[in-house]
Amino acid sequence: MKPTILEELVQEALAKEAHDTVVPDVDQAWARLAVRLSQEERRRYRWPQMGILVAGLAAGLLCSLLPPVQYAQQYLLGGISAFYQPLKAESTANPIITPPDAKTEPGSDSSLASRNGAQTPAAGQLQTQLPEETPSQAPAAPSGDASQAAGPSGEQVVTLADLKSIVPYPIPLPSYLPSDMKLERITYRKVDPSLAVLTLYYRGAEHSLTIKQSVPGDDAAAAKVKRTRIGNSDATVLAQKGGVTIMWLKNSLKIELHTNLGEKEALQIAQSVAPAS
Amino acid sequence: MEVTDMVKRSRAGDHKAFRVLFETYYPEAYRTAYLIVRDSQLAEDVVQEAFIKVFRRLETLKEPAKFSGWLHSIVSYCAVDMLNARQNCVLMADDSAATGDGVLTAGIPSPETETERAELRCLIAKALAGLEPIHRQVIVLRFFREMNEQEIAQAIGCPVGTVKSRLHRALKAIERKLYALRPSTVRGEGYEANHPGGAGTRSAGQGSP
Repeated sequence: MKPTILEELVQEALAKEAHDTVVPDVDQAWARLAVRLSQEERRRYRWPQMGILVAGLAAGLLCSLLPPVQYAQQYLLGGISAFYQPLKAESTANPIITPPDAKTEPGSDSSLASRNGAQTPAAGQLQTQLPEETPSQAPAAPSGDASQAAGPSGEQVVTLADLKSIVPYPIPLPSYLPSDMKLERITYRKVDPSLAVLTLYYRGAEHSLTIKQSVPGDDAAAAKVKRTRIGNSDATVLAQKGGVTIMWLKNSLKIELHTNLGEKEALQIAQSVAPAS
Repeated sequence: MEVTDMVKRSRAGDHKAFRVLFETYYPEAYRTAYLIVRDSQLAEDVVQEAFIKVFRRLETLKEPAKFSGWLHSIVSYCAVDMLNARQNCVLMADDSAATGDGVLTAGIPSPETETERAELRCLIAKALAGLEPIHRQVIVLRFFREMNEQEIAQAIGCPVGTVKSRLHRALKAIERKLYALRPSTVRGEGYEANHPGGAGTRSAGQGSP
């Protein structure tokens, strides 16, 4: 059908306006999108894990609501653990039937362990205490006073036990880790009297994880995190007593700047970062 | 490289391929977004949001060859969505003075000179800026993306009848706004009876009711 005059003019007006529109830089737009895509991918990865967790919780709830299943589970699990731990079973009068006034959840690992006299820590504690209790799983982090001497960079390989005497606060550790991932090594480096950096290296069959913690001496309260703009990109500024760290993306290139210069000067340097001519 | 290839590789998690798609379609996607939202910052946000949606739903695209149309439908959808979310951040300022509501019009006479035509284009651009977001969406898809009514209906997820009526209303609204901006450019009601068979005498909505 032939367009009307108005339709023709609308088409022309739109075409002219589109032609006159200034399109922003594609590289910068991609850099912005790349950040969101990586967040998106992390979220995608998290959903199956959440699904498994929810399914596990639902199954646990169902088990606790159905008495016959509960008894069958106690009988079965109690029998299995009694079979594998005959010596510890001696300390329990009845390894199969849980006393009615037992406070622990029937069927849980802890109730099963307590019935059999075993001392099993909770799942969250298991991760955090792993290097101390099972030194064989952290070969590069010998226990006790055997921390390795500082190298040329001043970095030492230490254990969690060592850190307790060095760092005046409880070390934050992940309570969740993929099943195959273990703490492999911890390093500690005193940058200057007011700043220490400790790094935790975890390794699994295919993945690795590094957690870096900066200890701002005795003035932790002075540390600040804020958002700013470097060029057209969002940037994060972490200002601690010992220095400033600025992190941003420039055309999909991750840039991290760390200095013990002042924050103002650090930002000035960051703003000036440009391709070398 | 073929779009189909790029889409397939992107589905398999190839970020380089997705970047190629992004770089290829970004300018046109931005223009579509800009024509609907009329704000450069918002248009950038719209395109970002649209590409995130594309990334999430790439699996659902049945025919990779139709990636372009699919992308533009997502862009237009995101644009209207974001406009509705922001509502008063759009260029509605001129609108209040130039709605021309209540005026009955009977089409635009064909402009005789190129100057006249250019002037009309300019007035139409102003009138477009004052349209409702859903009306601007169908106008942009129909006259800029050159999609037919059925394709628009599929793109925005509503019946063809709704698309037709939105197009009709949008064109009528443009006519009314033109009349308000410059009455001499639009014929009043009753023109048809006095000038049968004149150029451009069909009512504006007749081509796409």
